[in-house]
Amino acid sequence: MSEQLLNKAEISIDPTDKEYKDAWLLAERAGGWLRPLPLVVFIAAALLFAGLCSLDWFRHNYSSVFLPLLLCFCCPVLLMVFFFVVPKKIETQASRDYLTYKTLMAKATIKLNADTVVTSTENLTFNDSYALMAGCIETPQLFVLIKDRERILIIPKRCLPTENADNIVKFLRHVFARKRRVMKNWAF
Amino acid sequence: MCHDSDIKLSVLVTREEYCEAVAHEKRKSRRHIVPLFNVISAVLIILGFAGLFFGDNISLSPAAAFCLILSGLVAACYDGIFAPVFDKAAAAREFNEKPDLHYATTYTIKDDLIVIKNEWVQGKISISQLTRWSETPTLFIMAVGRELSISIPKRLLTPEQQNKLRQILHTDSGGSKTI
Repeated sequence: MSEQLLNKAEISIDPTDKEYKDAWLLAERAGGWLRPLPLVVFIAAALLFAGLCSLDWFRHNYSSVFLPLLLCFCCPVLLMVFFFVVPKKIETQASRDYLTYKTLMAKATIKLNADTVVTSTENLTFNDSYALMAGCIETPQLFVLIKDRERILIIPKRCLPTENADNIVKFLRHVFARKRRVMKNWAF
Repeated sequence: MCHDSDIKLSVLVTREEYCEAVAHEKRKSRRHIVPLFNVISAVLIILGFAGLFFGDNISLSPAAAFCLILSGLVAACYDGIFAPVFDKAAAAREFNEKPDLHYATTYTIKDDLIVIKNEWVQGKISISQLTRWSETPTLFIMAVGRELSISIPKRLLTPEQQNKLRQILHTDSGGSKTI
């Protein structure tokens, strides 16, 4: 079976700064600050719609123009906050955390066992069960395994050994069947 | 090798300890914006009272003035009443989400490193690698980035051990204390 063949498949991981930031954006989108993004888009559209509908078109009654304008103004503000300000903040934090990550996880290798993933570094060994993980996000470049809100495991696809890459991808897809999300980037 | 001077502990943090400590940390990290909240609340309350007494002169209805006073009171009470409740609720959720907090961890604290052993993590980290540490009334909290978090209840430490740990953290952590 492929799972048995993959037991103890070893991958040496070395995520770049960009991959680390992307991974955190994806993790936040899955279960953090960016999770309500679809709701925010809906609310922004509703605010714009409500604002435009109540603008009192062509009747020139300027006494009631402020509230509709405020509603219309809230739409881009809300979108700006959730599409630019919050992601920027997450990226800044991730940049800072990457320095620690790089030191702590230097020369990290991960071993994909049948029911656990073992991450070994020079001084530490992390043993995480797939069953206890919150989920897995797959993008064209990465697998992001979400341990909890504070911790993730990043497996860049470029780090997968070429001779076994397909099997490892299939294995991860199989293991996280119900908890896997496929995304193109952090927003979609 | 374990020396007599090393601190060896088997730690299981309770939910109450964790929630209290996290709420305490967040309250301390918020302290620089509390004056801003106070100023905002004062302005809102003054505006509200101005609206109540001189509403006709400044085009402010009693209902709007009442809302301003209410908002001012909420802003004034935020740090003392509402925020701790939200913080404790968030910490309780966090506690539930972190399985490693539900099982005992063995820590051996030596002069310049901490040896960790539990079902999920095994190994050692140098004290100089800590990116953050803080002391709350119930816990010592240490962290290495987002990857590793260490919580040690003070109830497990004698006063001498507490002093020793404090000293180690002060001298070896490279000034990473945040609170």
